[in-house]
Amino acid sequence: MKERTVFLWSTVLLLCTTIVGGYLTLFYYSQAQSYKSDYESLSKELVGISMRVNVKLDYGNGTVMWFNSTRVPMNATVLTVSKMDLDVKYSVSDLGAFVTSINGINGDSHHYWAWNYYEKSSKAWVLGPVGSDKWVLHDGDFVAWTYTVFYF
Amino acid sequence: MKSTRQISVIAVMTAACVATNYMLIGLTNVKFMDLIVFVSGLAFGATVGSSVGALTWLVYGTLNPYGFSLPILFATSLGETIYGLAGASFGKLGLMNNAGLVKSQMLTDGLKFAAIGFLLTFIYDLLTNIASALSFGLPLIPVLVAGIPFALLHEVSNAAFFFLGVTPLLSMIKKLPESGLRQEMKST
Repeated sequence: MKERTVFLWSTVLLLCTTIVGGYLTLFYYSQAQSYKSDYESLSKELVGISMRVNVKLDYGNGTVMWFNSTRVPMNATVLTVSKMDLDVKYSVSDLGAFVTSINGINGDSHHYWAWNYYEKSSKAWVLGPVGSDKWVLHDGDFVAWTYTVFYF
Repeated sequence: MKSTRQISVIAVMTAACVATNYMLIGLTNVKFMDLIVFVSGLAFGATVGSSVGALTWLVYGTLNPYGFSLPILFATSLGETIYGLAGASFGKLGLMNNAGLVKSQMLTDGLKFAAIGFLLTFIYDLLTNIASALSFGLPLIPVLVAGIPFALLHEVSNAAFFFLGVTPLLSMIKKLPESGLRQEMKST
C-alpha cells in the first residue's frame, strides 16, 4: 500500500515537471518561430537595400575562416564588410585604408595583410588593386584577407 | 457543520481571499486566494470551499481595476471552485488527518500539497485561458501560448504557497475552537 502511494505521488510530481517542461518547450518554440518569421520578413525588406558577400580570412599558417553571406549595405566596400566580420585595425592615407591588424594579428617587418577578390570570369583570386576602402562590392562577391609574407 | 457557523466561515475566508487579492494586485497571477480556497475545502468541506471560491471571484472580478468581463467572471468563479472541491475531496480521502502533526512528514506533506496546487492551477489556467479565447473570439492556440509565462508564474507560485502554507493554515484552523473542526473530526 505504501509503495503504491509513493509511486502515485512520484507520478504526480513527474507530471508537474512534465507540464513545466512542456510549457517551456512550447513557449520557446513559439518564440523561435516568431523570431524566424520576423527575420525572414526583415530579410525580404532588406533585399532592395542590401546585398550579401562572403569573406575569407587566411592566417597564412593553414588556418582559414569563412564568413559567408554577410549582409552589407549597397555600395559597401571591402573595409566595410571586414569591419563587420572581423576585428580590424587600419590606417588611412591618400592611397586609401591600409589594414595593419586583423583579429589581433599585426603586420610586421616580414608580414602584412593583403586583400584579394575572386574574379568569377577567370575563376582565380586577384590581389586588390586599391585600398580596401576604395573597392566597392557587389552582391555575391567573394573577398579574402591573407596574412602574407613580404617578398623583396 | 451548522449553517450559521458555515456562513460565518465562508464570510471570513472570502474576506481573507478578497483582502489578500487586493493586497497583491500589483503582482499578476501571484495570489494567496487559491491556497485559502483549497484549505477552506480541505478543512470545512465542499460547500464552504466552493462558495469561498465563487464568492471571492464575484467580488474581486466585479470590482477589479483591470476591468470587468462577464464571460471571464463566469469562468474564473467556476474555475475557482475547483480548488474548494478538490480540497474537500482530499479532505475526505484523509489527506488532512495528520498533515503538519508529524514533523518527519512535513516535507513530504508539503511536496504533496505543492503538487496538488500546481496541478489544480494548471487546470484552472487552462479553463480560464480557453474561456478568454472564446469570449474575445481569439484563436485558441496563440492565446494559450501567449499565456504560458503567466500560467507558469501562477502555477509555480501556487506550488510554493501550497508547499509552505497548507499545513500551517490547517494547524491554525484546527486550534480554533470556533471552527468546530475538532468536534467534527472526532465525530467523523
